[in-house]
Amino acid sequence: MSIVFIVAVIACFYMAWNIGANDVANAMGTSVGSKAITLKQAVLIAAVFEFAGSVLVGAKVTQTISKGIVDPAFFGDNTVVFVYGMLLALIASGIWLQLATYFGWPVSTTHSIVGAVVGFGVAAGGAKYVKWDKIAGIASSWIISPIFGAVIAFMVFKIIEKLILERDNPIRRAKKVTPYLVFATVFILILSFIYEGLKNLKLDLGVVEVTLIAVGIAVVVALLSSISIKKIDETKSDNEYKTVENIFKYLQIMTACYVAFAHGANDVANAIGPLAGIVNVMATNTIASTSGVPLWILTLGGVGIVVGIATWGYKVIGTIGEKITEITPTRGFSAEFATATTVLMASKMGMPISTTHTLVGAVIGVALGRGLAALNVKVVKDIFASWIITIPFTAVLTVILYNICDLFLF
Amino acid sequence: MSGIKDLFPKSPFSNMLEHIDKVSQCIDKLELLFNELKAKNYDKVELLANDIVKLEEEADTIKDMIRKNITKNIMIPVDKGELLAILTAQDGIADVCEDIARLFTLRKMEIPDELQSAYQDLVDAILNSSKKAVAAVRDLGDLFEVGFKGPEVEKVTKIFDELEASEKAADEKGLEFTRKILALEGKESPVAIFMWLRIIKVMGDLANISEKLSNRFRLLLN
Repeated sequence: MSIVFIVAVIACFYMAWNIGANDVANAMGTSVGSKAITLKQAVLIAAVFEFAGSVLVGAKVTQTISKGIVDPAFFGDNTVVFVYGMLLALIASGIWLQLATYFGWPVSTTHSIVGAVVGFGVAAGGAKYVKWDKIAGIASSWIISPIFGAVIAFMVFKIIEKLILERDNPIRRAKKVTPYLVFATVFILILSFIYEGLKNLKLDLGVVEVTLIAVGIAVVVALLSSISIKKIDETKSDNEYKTVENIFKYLQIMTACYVAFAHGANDVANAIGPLAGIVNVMATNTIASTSGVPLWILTLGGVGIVVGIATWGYKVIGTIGEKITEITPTRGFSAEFATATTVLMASKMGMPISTTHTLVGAVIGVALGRGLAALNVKVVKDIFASWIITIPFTAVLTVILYNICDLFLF
Repeated sequence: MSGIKDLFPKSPFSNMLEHIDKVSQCIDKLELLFNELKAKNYDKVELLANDIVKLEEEADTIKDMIRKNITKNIMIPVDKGELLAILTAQDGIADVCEDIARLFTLRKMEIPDELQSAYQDLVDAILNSSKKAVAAVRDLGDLFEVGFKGPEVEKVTKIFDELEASEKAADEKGLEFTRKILALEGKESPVAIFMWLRIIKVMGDLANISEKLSNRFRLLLN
């Protein structure tokens, strides 16, 4: 059994590495492209906040993957089957991602692992081993999340437009409105940090305390921001919109952190979900359906992602950042705020969703608000279509691997 | 399949600004040409005309590229047809500059003394309208930034009102010039009169196409 465990740990680390190497870039790209942050800053922000998101908020989604789709209880005493199955799902998912990386396809790590786990469930015991109601919930979250991203991004951009851009003195308006935007972003971020987030660090706080802390910190940061932008020259000039955009660069630094945090919270599960399931089963040697996710597994996932960013991901972020230069800070802020909020909400609900799809949805929201100069609709279709190939591929691959294993081992 | 790096093609507005730069240079060269003609420096007129021809070609290249890029795969914040109509009009300005310049190279035209002020009035009116058209297009970037609403719209609307006033003035000055030219029947060579009539018409076209641009542009601002 211990060999299986070691292989599982390696496979899990590899998946986490892959998320850091390829997926994170989609989350950070818009901030680098608009020149709100440099590549170095992006890597630093990603490393810190992806890790924080993974460890502090990643448990719920992890549990969905580790036991929400294929319930280990179905296997009774047959723990070996469950363990191998999860391992194979992990491996199949990793193979698909490696292929996709090689060919440059923007596939979702979330779809990969969900497809693979479903494949395992079906292979092991037929359709009855899969919790189809959970799958239905996950599938609908895949449809809802880009729509949510679009709606929120549209609203945020319209607010910026109405309150700042289409007014007489946009710079003065920007100085007035920015602290409120700062408050909103910091509030949601801190709230997600500490509400249920510190359970793993054994700090459980009630709703009231949490809200008060979040409000308090957000107010302080908002006040600091309003002080630091007080000195900006309000005189109307030819460059006034440039000044407004420059103010929003600082806001976009915040949303970059926010997106990285949300992404880590939702996607770490794609790497550690199977491992958590395996460890849970092996530890008790029975199949118990309740327990949290051990801290070391969350940390392993977080570290894997950071290593992925540091060794490969920075290149991808750089490439994307160079090409996405048409997006300005006001637009980038709107899209990122919407994406991060949606992904974080999904994470709190334990729903594994695709950050990239949500981001594309948010971008479409901005485009529908007439905020984007040009959007390539064909690329949007390609990105949204990728799950149609991903899920069957990983599911079938897992089924194949499982049957091979079945022949030789069981 | 491509990644999110290909989500955002180049902004059509920046391309429009590149194009209008070429158009603006055509207008500037034309302004110099009008002055050199007054001073009877026909060599300089020839040189400036060649410059304008070259600039118009460069504008055409940019125009073709813009047309190629606005495919059905791309989503832009304004009506594609309207944007391309504005592009056609602004390219038309460069075309008319070229036509005017070419006409002046066909024959060493001399401005009769009694017509000097009529000539200058017409020149001023048509240059004014075309420069206003350039100024309006140059505001496209800011208009997009603010979502085509608010004070920027008022700013551009004002430019168009002034443009339309200039176009009316150009019509009147063109008519006046024509009358004065025809009054010289018998005194001036018939070929000169004939050429002037053609030149006056094409000069008037410069103001007309500028007004066409403002009409199409206004549709973006609703």
